Amino acid sequence: MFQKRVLILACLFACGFVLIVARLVQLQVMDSEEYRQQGASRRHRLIQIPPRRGKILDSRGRALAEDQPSYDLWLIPAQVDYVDGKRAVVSQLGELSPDKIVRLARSSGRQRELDYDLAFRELVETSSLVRNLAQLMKQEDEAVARVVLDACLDRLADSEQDLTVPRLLFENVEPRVYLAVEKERGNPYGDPAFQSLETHVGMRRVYPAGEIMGHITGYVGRLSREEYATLRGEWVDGNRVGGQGVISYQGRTFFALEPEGEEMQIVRLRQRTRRGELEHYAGYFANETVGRGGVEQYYNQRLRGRHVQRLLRLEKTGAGGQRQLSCVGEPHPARDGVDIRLTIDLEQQRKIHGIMLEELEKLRLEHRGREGKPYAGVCLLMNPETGAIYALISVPGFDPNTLAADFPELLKDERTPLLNRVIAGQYPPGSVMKPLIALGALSEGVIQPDTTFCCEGVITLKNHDFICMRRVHHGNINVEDALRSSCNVFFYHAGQALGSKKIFKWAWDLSLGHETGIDISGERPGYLPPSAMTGRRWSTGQTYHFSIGQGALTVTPLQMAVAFAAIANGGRIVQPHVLDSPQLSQSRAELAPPTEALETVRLGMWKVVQDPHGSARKARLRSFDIAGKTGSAEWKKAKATHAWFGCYAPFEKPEVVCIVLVPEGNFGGGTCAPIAKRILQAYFGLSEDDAVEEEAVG
Amino acid sequence: MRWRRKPLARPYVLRFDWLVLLSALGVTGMSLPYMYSASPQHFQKQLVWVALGVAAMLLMLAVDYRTLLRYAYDIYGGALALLILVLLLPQVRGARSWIALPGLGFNIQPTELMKFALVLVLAKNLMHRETQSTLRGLVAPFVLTLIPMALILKQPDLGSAILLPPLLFAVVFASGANAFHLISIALAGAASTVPMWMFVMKQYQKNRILAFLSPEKYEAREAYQLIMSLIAIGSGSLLGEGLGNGTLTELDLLPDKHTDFIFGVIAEEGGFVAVGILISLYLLLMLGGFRVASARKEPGGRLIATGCAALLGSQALVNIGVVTALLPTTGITLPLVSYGGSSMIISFCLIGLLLNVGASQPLVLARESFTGKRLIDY
Repeated sequence: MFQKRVLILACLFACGFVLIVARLVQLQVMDSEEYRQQGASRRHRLIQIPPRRGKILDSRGRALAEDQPSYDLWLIPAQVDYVDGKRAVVSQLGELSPDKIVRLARSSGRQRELDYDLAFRELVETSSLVRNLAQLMKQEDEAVARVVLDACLDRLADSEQDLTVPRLLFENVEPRVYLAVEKERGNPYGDPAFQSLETHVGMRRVYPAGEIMGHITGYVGRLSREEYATLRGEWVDGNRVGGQGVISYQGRTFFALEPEGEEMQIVRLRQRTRRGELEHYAGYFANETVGRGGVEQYYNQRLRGRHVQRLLRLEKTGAGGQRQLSCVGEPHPARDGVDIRLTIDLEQQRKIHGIMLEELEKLRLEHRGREGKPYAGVCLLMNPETGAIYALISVPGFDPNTLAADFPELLKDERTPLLNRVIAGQYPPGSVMKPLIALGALSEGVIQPDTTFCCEGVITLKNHDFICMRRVHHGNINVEDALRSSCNVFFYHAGQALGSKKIFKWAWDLSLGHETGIDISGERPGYLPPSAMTGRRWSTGQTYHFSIGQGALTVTPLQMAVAFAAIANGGRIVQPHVLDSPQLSQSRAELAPPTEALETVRLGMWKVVQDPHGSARKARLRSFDIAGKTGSAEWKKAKATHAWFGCYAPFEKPEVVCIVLVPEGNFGGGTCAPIAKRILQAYFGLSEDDAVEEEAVG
Repeated sequence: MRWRRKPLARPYVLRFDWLVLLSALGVTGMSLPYMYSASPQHFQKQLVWVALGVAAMLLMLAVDYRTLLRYAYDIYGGALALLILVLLLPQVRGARSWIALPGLGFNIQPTELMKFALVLVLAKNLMHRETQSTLRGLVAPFVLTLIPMALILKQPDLGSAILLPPLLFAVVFASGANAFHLISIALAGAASTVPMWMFVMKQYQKNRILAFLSPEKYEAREAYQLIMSLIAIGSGSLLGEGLGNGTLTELDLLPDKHTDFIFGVIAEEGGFVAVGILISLYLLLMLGGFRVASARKEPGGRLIATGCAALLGSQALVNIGVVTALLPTTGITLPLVSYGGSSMIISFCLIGLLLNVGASQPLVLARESFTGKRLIDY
C-alpha cells in the first residue's frame, strides 16, 4: 500500500517535469527564432539626435529665433564613481530589485526618503565626482549630488532601466567648466571620476528680439507625453520611416511599425510596446523640443527638421567587462530645419512697440482714478491687399529667453502677459462694428446713402431706453454722418431694417466669429451669438445691441483688421499671415459689395477722421487722409469702456490697416486715435510735426 | 513496486543509493560552468558552498537518521525559534529572511533550516500513527506545517512558504491519509485565495500575478525579469549560444541570473540539450528518492525519504516553472544549483538524509501499511 502511494506521488511529480519539458520544447524549439530576434532587439537602442532647428528671420533677414550652442554635461550613471574601488550610488542601487528602484524613483513614500537619503549621503561623502564637479561649477556639494542622484534614478525609472545610457546632467554650463571636464576626460592620469561624464554640444534656442517679438515667435518647450499622443497626427511624409513598416539596418530588422488605429506605432518586434518605445519613432518623440505658441508652434513641422537616428549596440568591452553602447550605424540621416522669413520688420516692430509702451505709460499717468494701474494695449498693422502683417504688438508681453524663470511672475500679473491679445483677446467691438453694419445695410439695399433716420438721443422699446451716446440729439442723420458722429440711434434703425440674420451673415462673411487662420498658434474665434441667425430667443433689443457692436458678441483685433481691410480693398477677405509667402497673400473670399455702398462707407469713415466733427480728429495727419472708426465698447457696468480705433491709410490708396485697442481705455477717439496717429507716422516715416494739432470740437 | 534487492555483501558505507548521489552531484557539477559564466565573481564562493554542502551531506551519512528523528522536535523547535528571531531583526534586502552573522561575511537563512526540520518532524509525527485517514488525524501535521509557513510569509518570503504545502501533502498522503480529504483541503485552500486577494495580499504581490497573466502590459516593471528570462531561454534554442556567449547573460540583461534565474543562463548558453539533461537528472534524483522510500520498511525512514524527494522535486519544479512563466514569479532558488550558502548546504543535507535512509538497513518489522484496515492482511 505504501509503495503504491509513493508510486502515485512519483507519477504526479513526473507529470510536472513532463509539463516543463513540453514548455521548454515550445520556448526553445518552436518559438526560438522569435525570441532570438527579441534578444537582438533588446541589445540595441535607437537614439534620436535633434537637428538644428530652423531660424525665424524678420523681413530683412535679422534673426528672431535661432539655435546657439549649449555646452551640456551628460552622465553615464553606470560609471558613477569607481573611486576607491567603490561605487557610490550604483552600489547602493544595485542592492535593490528593479521594481523597488522604480518605486524609489517615482513614489514619494517613506521608502523613498530612507533609501534616497542613504544614497544621497553616500554621494556627498564619498563621491569624488560630486566633489570635483561642485568645485568646478562653484556650487554646493549637496546641490550637485542631488542632480547626480536624480539623474541616476531617472535613468532607472525609465523603461530600459539601463544605467549605461547617458543622461543629460547640466545644460548650458560655462565654457570654462565644459573645457575643464573635456580635458580631464582626455587625461589618462586625471581623476577617473570624470570618466562618468560626457561632454556634448547641444542646442539652445535664443530669441534676440526678446519681448518685442515674444508673442509672434512664441517659444520652445519639451513635448510632454500627453501632448505627444495628440501630436502624432501631425506626422508628415518626411517623417514616416521610409514607409517600410520596419526600421532596419544592414538587412537586420530591429524595430517594427505596426498600425494602431489610423496611426503607425513603433514596437519591438512582436512585442507590444512599452512606454519608451514610441520615443524611437522617427516622428515626434516624447521630450523633444517643440514650438509653443506663435510661429514656433505653427511652423514647428518646418522648423524642426528630421532627427538623426543612431543605432547603438550594447557590448561588453575590456578586461573589466564594463557594458558600453557602441554606435552601429545611422539608419536615417539628419535633415536640418528650414529657416522661415516673416513679413515683419524687426526695427519697425521695435519702434511701434516703443510707441505703444510710451503711450500706455502716458495714459497711466493721466488717469489717476485707476490707482496707477498700468494699461494693456494692442496694435496691429496689416497690408489690406495681401494680409501680410507688418506689426503685431500685445502689451504686456513676455521674453521667451527668460520665460521659464519669469513664469510665476507672469502668471501673477493681472494683465495676462502670456495672452496674445491681437489674436486671442476677445472683446466687444462697440462702434467699430458700425462700418460693417453700414456696409451690410447698404449692400442689401435696406438703406440708401441718402436715407435718414431721426435721432432724438433715445429709442424706447418696451420701457427700455436705448440711448445714443450721452443722449445727444443728432436729429435727421444719414449714414455717412452717423458713422462720423457714431450715432447709435441711426444704427438701431439700420440694424432693425437689416435684420439680425443678415447682420450675422455679414459679420460672419467679414471674418467675425471664426478663426481667420493666421499662422500664429493660439488664435481664438471670438463669438457671434448663434441665436441671431436662428432667431430663437432673440429680441429686437438684442438686434439693437448687435447693431452697435454690443451684447454677447466678441471679436479679436485681428478679425477687425480683416474686416477693415475688406472695406479698404473693395470687399476681398484677405488671409492674415506673418510668413513671407506669396501663396498666403491670395485672398480667401470675395464679397463684392456694390461700389456705391463701399464708397459711402469709406466716405463715412473718412469723415470720422478728417471731418471737424469726426470722433477721431486726433488721428489726422498732414501727408495723407485716413479713414477709420472709433469704438468705446461697454463690457462691464462701472468699468471703463474698451477703447478701439481701426483705420486704414492713405485713404485714396490704402497701404496699411491699423487697429489699436486699449482695454479699459475709455474713449476710442481720445485714447487710441492719437496712438494710431503716432504709429502711422512711424510706419510711413513721417516727422513728428506732420500731425495736425487742433482743438477738440465740443 | 519491487526494486532489485541490493547484495548484502556490499560494505555498509557503500550501500547507499548511488542513483541519488550521482544525479545530485551531476546536477551540481553540470551547473558550475554556467555559474562561472553567469557571475565569475561569485564562482569561487559557490565552490566553497558546494564543498561545504558535500561535507554536510557526508556528515548526514555519519549520523544514523533515527538519531535525528529522536531529536526531531528539538530541531524543529530550534528552527522555529530562529524564524521568530529573524522577524525581530532589521531588514536585509527588503525582507526579514536573513540572520546576519557579523564577522563571518555571510548570512544564514532560517527558512532553509526549517525545510529540513519540517521533513524530520512530519516523519516523526506520522511514523507511528494510524489516525491520518481521518480528518482529525490530519490536524497535527497541518498545524506543524502552517505555523512555520505563517512565519515565513511574514518575512515576506512567498517562494519558500509555497514549498511547504507540497511537502506536507506528499508526506501525509504517503503515510496513508484519505486522498479525498486531501483534495478537499487543497480545493478549500485554493478557494481561500479569493479573500486573500481581496484583503491580505499587497499591491506588489497582486501586480506580480497580474504581470504573470499579461506580461506585456507589465513589461517595464513587474514582468521585466520574466520577459528577459523567456527571451534568454528561447534564444538558447536547441544547442544554446555556447558557454560564455549568451547575449542576455553576458550583457547583464537578465536580473538575478546567478541565483533564482540561473536556469535561464543554462538554457541560453546550453540550449535545450543542457536543460534537458538537467531536468532528467532532477527527475532521476527525485525518482531515486521515492525508490529509497519505497524500499524501506521502517516507517520513519520511508517518510523522511518521501519528504526529501518531494521537497527537492517541488522546489525544482517551482523554480523552473517560474522561470519559464508557467507559474507567477516568486523568489525561490534552484536546489543544488543556485548561488547561495544556506540553500546549497540544506539541499545537500536533504540528499545526505536520503542516502542515510537508503543505506541503513535496520531490522525492524514495519507494518506494510499505515492504515488500520490493512492490518488484517499483514
